[in-house]
Order: sequence, then structure tokens, then C-alpha cells
Amino acid sequence: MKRFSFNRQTAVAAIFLAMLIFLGGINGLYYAKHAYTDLKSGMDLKATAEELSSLDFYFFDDFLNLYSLTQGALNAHLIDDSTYGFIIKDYQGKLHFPRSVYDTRPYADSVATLSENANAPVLFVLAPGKVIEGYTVLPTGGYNYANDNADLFLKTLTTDGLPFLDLRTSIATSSLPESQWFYNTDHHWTTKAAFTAFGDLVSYLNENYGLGIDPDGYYTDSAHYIVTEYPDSFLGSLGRRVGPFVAGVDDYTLIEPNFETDYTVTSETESLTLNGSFREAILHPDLLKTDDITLNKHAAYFGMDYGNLVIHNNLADNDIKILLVKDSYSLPLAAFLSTAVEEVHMLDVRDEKAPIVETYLNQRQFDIVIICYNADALSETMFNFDH
Amino acid sequence: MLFSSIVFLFWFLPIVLGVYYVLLRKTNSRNAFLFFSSLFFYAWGEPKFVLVMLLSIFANWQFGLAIDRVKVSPRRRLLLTLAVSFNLLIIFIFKYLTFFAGIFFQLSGVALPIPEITLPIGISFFTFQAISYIVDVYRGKGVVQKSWLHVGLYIAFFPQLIAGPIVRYQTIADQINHRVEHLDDFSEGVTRFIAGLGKKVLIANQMALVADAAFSSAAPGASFAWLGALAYTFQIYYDFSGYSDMAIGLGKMFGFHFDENFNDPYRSNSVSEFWRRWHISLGSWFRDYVYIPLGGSRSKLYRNLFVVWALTGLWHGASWNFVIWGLYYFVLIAFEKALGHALDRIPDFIRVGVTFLAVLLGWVLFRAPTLTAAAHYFGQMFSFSNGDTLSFMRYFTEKKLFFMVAVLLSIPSVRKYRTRFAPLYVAELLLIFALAVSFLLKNTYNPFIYFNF
Repeated sequence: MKRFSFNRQTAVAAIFLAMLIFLGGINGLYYAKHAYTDLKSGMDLKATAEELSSLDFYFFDDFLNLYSLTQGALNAHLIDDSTYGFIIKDYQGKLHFPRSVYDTRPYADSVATLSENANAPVLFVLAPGKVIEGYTVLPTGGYNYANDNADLFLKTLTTDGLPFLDLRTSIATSSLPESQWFYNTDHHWTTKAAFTAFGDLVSYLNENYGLGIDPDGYYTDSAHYIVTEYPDSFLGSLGRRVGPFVAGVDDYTLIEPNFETDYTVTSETESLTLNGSFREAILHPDLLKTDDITLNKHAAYFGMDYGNLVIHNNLADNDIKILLVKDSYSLPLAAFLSTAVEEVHMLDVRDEKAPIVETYLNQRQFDIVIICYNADALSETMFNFDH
Repeated sequence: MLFSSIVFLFWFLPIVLGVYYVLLRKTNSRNAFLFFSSLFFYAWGEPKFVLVMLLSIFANWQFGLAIDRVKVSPRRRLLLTLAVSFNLLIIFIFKYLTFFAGIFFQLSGVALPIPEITLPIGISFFTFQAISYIVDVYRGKGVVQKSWLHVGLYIAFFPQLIAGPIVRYQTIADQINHRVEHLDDFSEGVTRFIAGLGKKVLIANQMALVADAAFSSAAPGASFAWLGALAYTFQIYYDFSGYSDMAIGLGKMFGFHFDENFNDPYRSNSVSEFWRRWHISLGSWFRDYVYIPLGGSRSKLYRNLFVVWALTGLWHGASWNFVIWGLYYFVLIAFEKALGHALDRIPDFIRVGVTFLAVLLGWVLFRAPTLTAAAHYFGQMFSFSNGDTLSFMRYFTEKKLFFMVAVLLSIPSVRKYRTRFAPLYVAELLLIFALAVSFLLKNTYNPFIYFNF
């Protein structure tokens, strides 16, 4: 038998074993807790083990931070990703999902069909995609053809005689600098950009549909809102995929009315009823905790996406009702819009429980139907109005 | 189950180490435990093929006992022939039957009714080990195992079960029954394992991204095609040598000492030398069990070389690519043998460069899915067309550091660098481990080339 000697290799082995035992042990306990439930729900042991060995791994965030640190140190602009192939970091420090070129013609057809069958005018609103013309510089090999797809889509709408509002153009003329349109780490626009878009949308609706929303410009004036900054508090959807050291952590800005509000918010799909002020019925302060940067702060408005949500403004000074067909991008926009009209109905067609759009709108009387998606989000799922 | 997986690292390995060292004391019980753990390890990926492996184990155990019992030479030889034929039949059915049926169909126009056959993972490795057991028992180079569990452990031991190295029986015959585990070996095994994991996860997987993109591109153009070929050259080296490091390290953790499988192959100054440094366990297997029995270099050298290299190609896979790839090395090695010492006059750096280039071109043949695809890829490499320059720029820019590390670590003097400052050495290895785990948890690309063989 060789003599025992504690050398540097032994030190490595000791720490390695300690790591295996600690991480294996703590994940084992976690696994044991979940295995029974998973087995009951039909998952096999192997699938459960493999699932718990990825995203559910204890200390996953710490290891992701280490990965992120590596990518940050390498100054990587294309960060490997198992789902998307890679995540792009542009030269302005903003993260993007890669977007290919695809045929948008079928989406225009869906809008046309809905317009023909609706008992109210239908307007498509294109919110900006994350690539901003004249501002965003993508690295070599990083591609995002969202704007090209959107341009083609709008061109088809023009050909078909369908109305649309291109918020890319209107926001570009506002005082909001391009750097503040989007979070670095999230795919949504910022609250400030959504507020700017709210003003642009109201102007457009008044000019083109004569709705007379906010005639004295009170609700669209930022001076009547409280703006609260939450610095370094938000790691968005893209940031959570690559960690906080690739594009940093975003500041979050909450904008809420500084005037009296009273709402009733209901959801048929989720059996939800909320009453109270904007803060009580619309805001979800639980998502604004600054000690957890991974909370989806963009969803501070309404908390999440519902298949159907009706926001009734009990203090509205008009009886305008808007149907908004949307995705998560429009949550702050809907919140701001609700201050200026009596009702905003939101339908999210990605939710299987969401009602069929045509049936829903024809059972009610709306002043306008708005379909609002951003350039990055044009996809089949979004235009599946009769699912 | 992959070594480079969270399930292996944090579940399988600690449990097996814990039970082995804490609960079990006797070698026999430890051997039995390792054997059943290995079956579980194999079954994780391929439950149904455990039966194929068990069949191989039981049959070879019986063949071994029979060969040991029979002292009369002709009968021993007959038993040996039967045993080797049995093993070759298993590998033929699962790996080559469809290929040869295809050739038969092309030649005769008659389609044989062969069902779709899935290749059991690691069949080439465990079958060659089984043959090694039989031949070594026959030659008296290793004691026969009375227990089927011990034969099973030799054939199915999880560190080398799926992707080698091919451990010849004579190497570990004594270790199965009489090994002594000690801390120094264990510690060395851990550091070796971590180094292998780092090679695999931090280098090979990154190279794989480039290589796969280039080889899947319809028109990569010259620059991207060369970059892809270079990436694959490093991918396969760090993938396979990393796996071998992990296997050797794991073996040491349990008191086994496997032979080395790689020895800086890309510093070779001839193709013959390359094959003495690359996949050494396969080369020495063919040398000891095929080349020398055929007569080696003493008689019919070129025929023997042809047979060995055709078989080496076929061992890697049942397709013409691999056969041609094997014969490509036959041609190169035969050429080198014919020139003899005339090559010695060429400066080393030129010889190393030319050898590296020859190997790189060989990997293109190896990597391409078909001969047509290989020809197309070669066409792109030598086309001087721009092709997919965007991808070239992307991968070159993003992965240049990984390429630099891959190049540097294949230079022996750099690779053998070890800091004398112990805390730094410990931190270096633990950082490699933590980084590898972080890359695995991030679920980055994690293929394993030699699983296919």
C-alpha cells in the first residue's frame, strides 16, 4: 500500500467530491420531493431526472452567471442557445433573438378576413421590433429580419387596402431616444416607449376614426403620471437566457396615473375580478421587487397575459370601447389606453382558452378593433384568430 | 448516459462512488456492484440492448472457460474460431448487415428482407473487448475468469463501455481480481476526469458548432469549408481524447489502470506516426489481433496493411466513406513505407504540416455523410469561391479564442504546462469543472462523436 500523501491533486479530488456530494445531495432531495408527483403525472424516472438536471437544477442561476461571465469576458456577440441557436448582442449592447425571413402573406389574409367579418373597423398597429433602423448595428452573422418581414407585411396590407399604424415611424419622431425604446435584456419595449406609443395611437384614432379620445390631451400627458425608476432591477427574457454579465441588468420604469382612477378588471378565461384604483386593479407590485432581477417586470401591468381581460374604467368620461388583439408586448399600452376610454377588452389568441375573435367582437359593440403586434412577433400563432 | 451530463456528474457518479467506497469492502462485491452499475449506465440510453451485451458476456464467459479447459491445440483453436466468429457475427448483424445487404442488392438486384436495425451504442468497443478476452485467454496472456460477473465487468465497465478506450484483457486481467485502490490514484483520476470534461465541453463542443454549420451548409465556399474542416479536426480530437481522459480518470478512481489512448497526435511528422499516437488502443488491437497474426511486416506487408486499414475504416462505420477513409490511410502509410528513410531529409516542421493537412483532409471524408457530400465539400474547399463568407466571419470572430486554445493545447510543451503554485493549480481545475458544468446546464451543444461507433 502506498503511503498517503496529501498533494494538490488530492485537494482537487477532495473539493470535487465535496461538490458532487453537495450538489448531488441537494438536487437528490429536490428530486425525491418531485419524483412522486412527476411519476403520478405520467412522466418516467428518466425524463424527470433529466428535467430536474437542467433548468430545475439547484444553483442553476449561479452556474448560469458563471456561463454569463465567460461570455461577457469573451465579449461574445453571438451566445450559444439551445432553443434559438444563438442570442445576438448588438453593438449597442442590446440582446436579440435571431429572426429569419418568412412569408407574411397569410397573416395579411387573416387580418383581411377579420376585417370583412367584423362589425367594427379593424386597425393593425405595428409596434417597433428590436432592430431600429439607423441605430441598431448587429454583429457579423447575427441576423434579425423582423423589419424586412414587417415591411413586406405592411406592403401587403396597403395593397389589400387595410389600414395600419406603423409605430416605428411615429416613435422615431418623438423625443424618446432610440436607446430607451427597448430594454437591453428583454424582448419587450420599455414602459416609456409604450407610453409614447399610447399618445401616438390616440392621435391616430382621433384623426382617422374621429373617436375623440382624450380631447384635451390630459391622459396622454406624461405630466399627469408618476414615474418611478427601479435601477438595475430587471433581467429580461433574453438576459435570463445568457445571464447578467453579457448585457448587464436593466433599469425598469413604472408609469402610473397621478390622478384618481377606479377600475373593474375581469377575465372570463381565468374567473378573475379586480376592483380598485389603477394600482390596485392593474398593477402587480409583487413583480417589482428589486431583490429578484429575474421577475418579469414588464408584466407589472396586469401581471400576466390572459386569454381574455376586460378593463372597465369606472371614471371614464366617454363610452368608447376598444377590442385589443395582442400579445404580452401590449400590456403597458393597454394599461395606458384604459385611462382614456371606458373599456379595453384584451384578447390573446395564443391562449387556448381565448374566445374566437370574430365571435367575441360580433357579440359586443366596439368602436374599433386593434390588432397590435411588434415587428419581431409576426408569426402564425399571433394571427390564428379563429383557433 | 453521457459523462458530460448532469445526470452522470451529480447523480450516477456520486452514488456509485459512495456505495463502492463506503458500503462495500471486498473486491468481489465491489466488482459485482460496478458491473450492475455499468448495466444501469448502459440501459439509461439503450435499455433493450442490455440484452445484446448480456448475451455477449455470457457467451464469452463460456467460451473462455471452454478454451481454458481444453488443452488440445486443434480443439482450442476451433473454440477460439467459434468464439471470435460469434463476436463478429453479433457486430455484423447489428452494424454491417444492412450495409452489405445494400451492396448485395446493387450487385444482384435482389433485395434481402432485412428489418431496420438500430445500432447498439458502443457495440464496436465492447465486441472488440470481448474478442480481446477470448484471444488473451487463448494465448495465456490473461487468466480465465471463473465468474461471469468478472467477464461482465471487463466487457461492460462503464468508464470504457461506450467510447473506449478498447482495454485489452491482458492489461487489466489482474486488476479485476487484485486491484488496490488508493488515494493518489483516486486523486489523479479526478484531475484527469476534469481535464477530459473540460476538453470535451469547453473545446470540442464549441468546435462542433462550427464544424456542423460548415458541413451542413450547401455552399460554404472555400473559407468557411476550410474553417469547418479545421474545426472538425479539433472537435474530433478533443471530443475523443477528452472522453478517453474521462474514462482513464474514472478507471483510476476505482483502482483500474487503462493504457493511454492519445499521445499528441497532431505533432506527428508522418501518417504512420499519427496512427501510433491516435486512438492507440484501436491501433494496438489491430496490430496484435490482426496485423501480426497475418504476418505483420515480415511477409506480404502491403496485403496486411490493406486488410488492417480496410477493417479500421469499416470498424468506424458501415459506409463507403469509412472504408475509403481507411484505405486513404492504407495508401498514405504504404507510400511512407515505400519511401522509407527518404522522408527523413525533409525538415520536421514541413513533415508535421503535411501530416496535419493529410489528416485534416481525411477527417472531411470521415465527417461527410456520404461520398457525394465529401466530394462536394472537397470541391468547396478547393473552389476559391466566396460562398458563405458571413458564416465564416461569424464563426471565426466568435470562436477564434476557442480555436487558439485548441491549437495551443495540442502543442505538447504548452499542454504539459503545470503551475508550481498549488492553490493556482487547484483553482484552475476547479474552474474548468465549474465552467464545464455551467456550459452543460446552459444546455449548449453536446454531441459525442464516438458514440456512433
